[in-house]
Amino acid sequence: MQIKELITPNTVIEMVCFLTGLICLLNSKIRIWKLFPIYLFVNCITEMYAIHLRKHHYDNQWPYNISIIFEATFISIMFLQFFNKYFKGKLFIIGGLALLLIAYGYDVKAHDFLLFKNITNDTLNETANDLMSVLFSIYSLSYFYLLLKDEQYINLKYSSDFWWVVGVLFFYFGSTTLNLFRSEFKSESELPNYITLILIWMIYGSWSYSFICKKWLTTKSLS
Amino acid sequence: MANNEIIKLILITSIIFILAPISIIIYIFVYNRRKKKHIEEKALMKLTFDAELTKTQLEVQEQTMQTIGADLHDNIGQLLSLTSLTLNSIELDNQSKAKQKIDAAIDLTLRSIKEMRLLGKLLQGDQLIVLGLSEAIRHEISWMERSGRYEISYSEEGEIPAVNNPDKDLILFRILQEILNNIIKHASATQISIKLEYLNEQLKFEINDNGVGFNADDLSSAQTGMGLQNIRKRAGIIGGEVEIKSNPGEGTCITIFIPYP
Repeated sequence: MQIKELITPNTVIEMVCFLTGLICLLNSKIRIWKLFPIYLFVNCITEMYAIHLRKHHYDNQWPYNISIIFEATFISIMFLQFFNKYFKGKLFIIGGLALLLIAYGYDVKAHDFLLFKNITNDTLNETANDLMSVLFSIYSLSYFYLLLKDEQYINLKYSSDFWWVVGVLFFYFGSTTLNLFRSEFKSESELPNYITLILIWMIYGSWSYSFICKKWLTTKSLS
Repeated sequence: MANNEIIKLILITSIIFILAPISIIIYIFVYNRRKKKHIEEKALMKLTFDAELTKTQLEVQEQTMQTIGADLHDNIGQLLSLTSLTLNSIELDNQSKAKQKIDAAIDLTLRSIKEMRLLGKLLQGDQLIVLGLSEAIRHEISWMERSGRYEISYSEEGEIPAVNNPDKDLILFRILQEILNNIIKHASATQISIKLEYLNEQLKFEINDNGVGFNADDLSSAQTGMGLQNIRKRAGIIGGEVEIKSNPGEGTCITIFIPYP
């Protein structure tokens, strides 16, 4: 496998985000921020391994089906940390995770997608993905509502939490179109790839900026 | 549906689903900017309020000092001068006359002591607010009545809340002082009536006099003088309103409404 094969617009922005996260969050005092680069690393590995599988004509869905566990967990914990500033969000997040677990369980049973082979070409973790889009969009909108209601003023331009949630909202709300029209896409159509590419650049771009804000704030508070 | 139509539909939907979050974010930014402006305005208002409160405190103290100064000069000073004169004029040879003069000097000294005691109380006048607005008003009235030039009545209606607001009390007390000063200086009144009424979380403060009055409708802002302007301004900073009713020869009625406590 050539390294060149692995360099795609998706992997470039994912790597940029991972490296930014690594540089900016390593000294973060909040544990979930500090651990977040692990999720970004898993993401990069998943993407690259999926490219490798596709190039060699294997089913490349299963790595995504595994990384979704990291995705759901890390993003939910991040939201928990944000919500805790306003209310005790533990039940809210645990409830969401429980729903996701049920959806994931259903997908495992219905599509056999952990068998690591493509039987019917419908190994996509549809239910869990759809539910995750809805849940994370609701979380993002709830966070914005709490932010608006909060009497305290925050300079949003430099708010790491805000830009992190902006990325999540763009990606998960935007990917609703893909979820809605999934069955309409012809396999040769490039449109879903382009839409996904835009959304991926939006989420990782926003997250990278959020990490920079976090680092800037940390430096400021230490000085 | 044709393939092209589906692509068009998906494209439009995708654009809408990306534009929607952008609109939300723009709205949040606009709202946040308004929030910042609101917070800044509130901070400025607080600053103005604090400055006005300090000024009011100083004015109350100044008023007290002026009264004390005048009293020392006009009253106690005179009494002590008279005592000194009386004692100096005693002739020890004439015992019966000396006794009379000594008695007179004792009487003058006792009056001086009484006056001094009242002055002592007045010195604590600006701290009277701690005891409540009613107490401070009563004290101010009793001091004014001593001159014998005014017949003052004071009444309270409704139950004034036990939990008071010292800032509002201080400003209200200063307003009362300002109004009474105006009456002394300009009204040539003989009767003053003060009424404090509490109803529906609102304090109504009414001061009537039977003085010369003035044309309240024709009074331009330049003519209102610092006194009335100050009264309106002070009432305004504690969320109150002032109503002035007056006509030449018919006295003046000033009513102040303040949300309380």
